[in-house]
Amino acid sequence: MGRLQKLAAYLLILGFLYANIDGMLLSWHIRFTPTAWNRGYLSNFFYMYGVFLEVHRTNREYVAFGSTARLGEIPRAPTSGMMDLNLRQYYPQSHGESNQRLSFAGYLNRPSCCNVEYDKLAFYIKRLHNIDKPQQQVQGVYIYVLYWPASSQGYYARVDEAEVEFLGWN
Amino acid sequence: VELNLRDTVFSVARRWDAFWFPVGPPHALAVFRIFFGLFWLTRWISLGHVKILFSEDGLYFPAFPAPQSGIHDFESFIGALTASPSLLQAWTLYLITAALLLFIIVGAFSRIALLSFFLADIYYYYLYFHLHGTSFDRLLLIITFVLFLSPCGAVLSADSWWAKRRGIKPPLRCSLWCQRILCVQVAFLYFGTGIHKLTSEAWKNGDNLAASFYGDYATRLGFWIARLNVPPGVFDVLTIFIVLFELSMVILLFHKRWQKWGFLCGSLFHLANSSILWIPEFLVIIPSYILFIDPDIVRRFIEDHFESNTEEGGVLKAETTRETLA
Repeated sequence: MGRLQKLAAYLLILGFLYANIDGMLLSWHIRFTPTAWNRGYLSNFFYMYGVFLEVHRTNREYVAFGSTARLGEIPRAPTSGMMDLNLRQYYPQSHGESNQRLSFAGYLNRPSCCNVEYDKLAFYIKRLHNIDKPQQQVQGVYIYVLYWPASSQGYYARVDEAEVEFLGWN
Repeated sequence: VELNLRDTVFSVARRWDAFWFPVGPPHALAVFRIFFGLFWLTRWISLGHVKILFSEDGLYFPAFPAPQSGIHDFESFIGALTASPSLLQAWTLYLITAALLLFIIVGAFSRIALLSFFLADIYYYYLYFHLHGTSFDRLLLIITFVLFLSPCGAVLSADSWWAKRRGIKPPLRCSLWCQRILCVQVAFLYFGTGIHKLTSEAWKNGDNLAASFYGDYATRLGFWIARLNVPPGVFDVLTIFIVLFELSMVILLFHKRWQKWGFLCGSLFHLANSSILWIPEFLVIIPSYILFIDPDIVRRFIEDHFESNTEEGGVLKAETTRETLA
């Protein structure tokens, strides 16, 4: 191994150690980061230690409902005249992974998700649905999330107690 | 005293150097490369919903928007790269990535394949994977980059087969600093997670563990266990065991006498984890254990079981014996 190669390897090892220790210290919210490192795409790259940060007490399900006509007022909860668009078919992964994606929890530089993303999602779902099922075209798509207490008896065991939150529409 | 201090400093420096720059055969890295490629290929096939996941016709949420006024930093570069991938573009890139994984598995143009796959993974990370914000996606990127720098394609590969045909012998010994980085990264993963659990409010008792059996990520087996109504005290004890296991893996993995117990406990832990929770991605850690084994032992094992019947294997074996004796 040449000297230059070894020097480069040393620098890489030191950077790697620094990044990992920085990632570990994040568990205690301690950071020693230079400005160049403190970017959205870099700062948390080596932070891979925080698993299951909260005790899971609530189950959730994201749903999309469509209406064949434009509604005058946005319904704050799905109504009987709306069509369930089966949002899950567009998220073929496991519940956990799908919910993670749908919460936009990992959306870079956007720590708190906003309705703009759900409006966009509603637009995409409308487009996909209208292409897949041209005979059942929808004019408006509304995204909601249902929350209910988790139960060891099953994921949907207490879904009857669900609360609905409106997220976005298109 | 001055002499002792100098000796101590030199001794520490020598040990540091010996730790980070071991020399040996790259067979363990090659075996890991094959398993890593197979793992990724399986994952890649499961992500075959190309239209929905990777094209602008699907659920298109890139990490950075397309730049309005030219490329001037990393974000705008990635924004431009991931801007509006058409369905044709998405399928083309998907199939190229699958081909790259095949190249990695068979070890054809290994370095080029690994670098290209690393770049492809960055592209997919900012196009799609970033939405999950999961640690394994970042871990897989780090592993790919380190494998690219390593001599993992020097043996057990199409590259080495072609080289042999041209009369070039595979390297018997090379610097394995990349292998060491991968080992330390795996050790960090266990230790950091253990430390985090040790200090986290959510892991102060067994509640979090018990709830994970019927949470978002739980499998049918997880729910079945949850319905057994196991006393909460069992989860308290299990939590303590998990934290102790994660903290002690740093020692177990590197200690030659104890590492087989580390491998066993780690494998059981990951297998249990992926049967109870829908997180199969961490299974990639199991084949990484081979990187902790003495590289000469791995090489001898491979030669004894896979190369001893060939003439080249015999020559290689003789050279290994000579080198070991020397």
